Amino acid sequence: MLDVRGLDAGYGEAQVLWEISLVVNEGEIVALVGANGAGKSTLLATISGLVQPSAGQIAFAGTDIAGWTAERVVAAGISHVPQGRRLFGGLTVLDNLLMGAFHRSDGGIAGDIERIYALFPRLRERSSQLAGTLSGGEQQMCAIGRGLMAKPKLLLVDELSLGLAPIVVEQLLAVLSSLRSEGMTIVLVEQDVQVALESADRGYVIENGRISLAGKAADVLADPHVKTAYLGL
Amino acid sequence: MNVINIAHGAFIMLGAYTSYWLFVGPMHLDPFLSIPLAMIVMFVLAYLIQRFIVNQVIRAPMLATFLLTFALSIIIANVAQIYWSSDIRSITTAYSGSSITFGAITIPWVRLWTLVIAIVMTLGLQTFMTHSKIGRAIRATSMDVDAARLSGVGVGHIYALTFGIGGALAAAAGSLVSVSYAITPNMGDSFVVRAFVVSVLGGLGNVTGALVGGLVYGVIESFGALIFGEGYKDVVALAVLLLVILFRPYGLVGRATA
Repeated sequence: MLDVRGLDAGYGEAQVLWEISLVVNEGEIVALVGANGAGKSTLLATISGLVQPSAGQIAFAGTDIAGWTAERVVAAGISHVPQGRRLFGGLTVLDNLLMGAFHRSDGGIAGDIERIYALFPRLRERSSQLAGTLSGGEQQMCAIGRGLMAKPKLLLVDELSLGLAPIVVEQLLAVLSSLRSEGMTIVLVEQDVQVALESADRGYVIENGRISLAGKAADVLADPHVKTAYLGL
Repeated sequence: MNVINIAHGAFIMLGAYTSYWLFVGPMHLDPFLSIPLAMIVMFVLAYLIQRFIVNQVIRAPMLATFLLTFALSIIIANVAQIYWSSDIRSITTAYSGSSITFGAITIPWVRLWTLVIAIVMTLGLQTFMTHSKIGRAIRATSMDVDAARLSGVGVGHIYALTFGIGGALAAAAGSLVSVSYAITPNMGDSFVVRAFVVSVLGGLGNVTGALVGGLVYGVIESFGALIFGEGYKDVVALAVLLLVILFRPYGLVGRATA
């Protein structure tokens, strides 16, 4: 579904990503793990069009989308739930969800709002509350909900667990795996290596802007280098 | 949007001239009826100015847009002066002199209608901003540009649209003042200072706040002129601006939140 090849990207003179190649198959959860500053978020931002690549291809469903604007990428079917939620704090929860459907003009928006509320009943209770007043977990629910309102084929989730209680993280991961069983493809970026790899099918380790290891999630988790460097074992 | 448009006064002036030329022209269009036309013209002009000029510096610090729109306002006023001369013009309609009297208070009809139209437009803008898809996208973009882009918003278009709406409203203001004030190429300057004070009074970015700010400011200005003399109008205006910035930087009706 997603086939990234030889991707270089960065900010101005500072190159962050070096020859990144990565494949995501339909219906998979792929974990992208690595230390703070390794380039995980930059990779997601490059796929979603916020950062322009300097070299390489990003094939999505057979089309090279490298260099597309963010709004084109969303319309093509990739939704990016950014790090730190990035909700519209002064808008209500409902308005945030509706913003996710901005590029859509089909009649299914009201029905999809109901779907999000069924997935996250807390959001229904908070529907007319300003998003900035939500708790961290509720904000993450709202951010994922907003991402889903774009009706994506591929969902990119950046730092799902950041600042959240383990029980909330578990709930959110359960929602992601139920989405996957309905056919959604998901890329999960995490600093929490254990959490990410335990819920993924395959994993990539990114170090200093390069892919250093790739494989089945269980194999990556069992890798001696990963164990010492990321799990402290 | 973090853009302070100093050329707003020039847009008001262009709106006033649009009404003037339509009034003296062969159509002899009533200035109140020319409001929609002036709005359309200025919407298009402001949209293009944002898209091709202001947008170039939109990501730069606010000072850049400040200076750029200041330059634009000087250019627009001077071009107007070249083509339309600096003659003072005015619109006198058949009903210009008539007024309505409530006991001891006499209000010219044109002023009353101006007030009514201004309130209707403010409420219309407020409704548009809170209930329409585009209005929601404008507010979202002003809160977080990148998140808006990730939601599929073409922010370049949204910025230009916002500027265009501002231009259209300035044009409406121009048409409205054209019946009460003298029309000159530099008439916008005094309005820009007042608009700025009113916006700060209402809280920047607060639509209904601007209405409250406008009423409060109007009363202060009138009483200031009465007490200190007509020549001190601008002193009063800027003193009010200073006091508000010092004591209520979030506006009279706003709240002190981030």
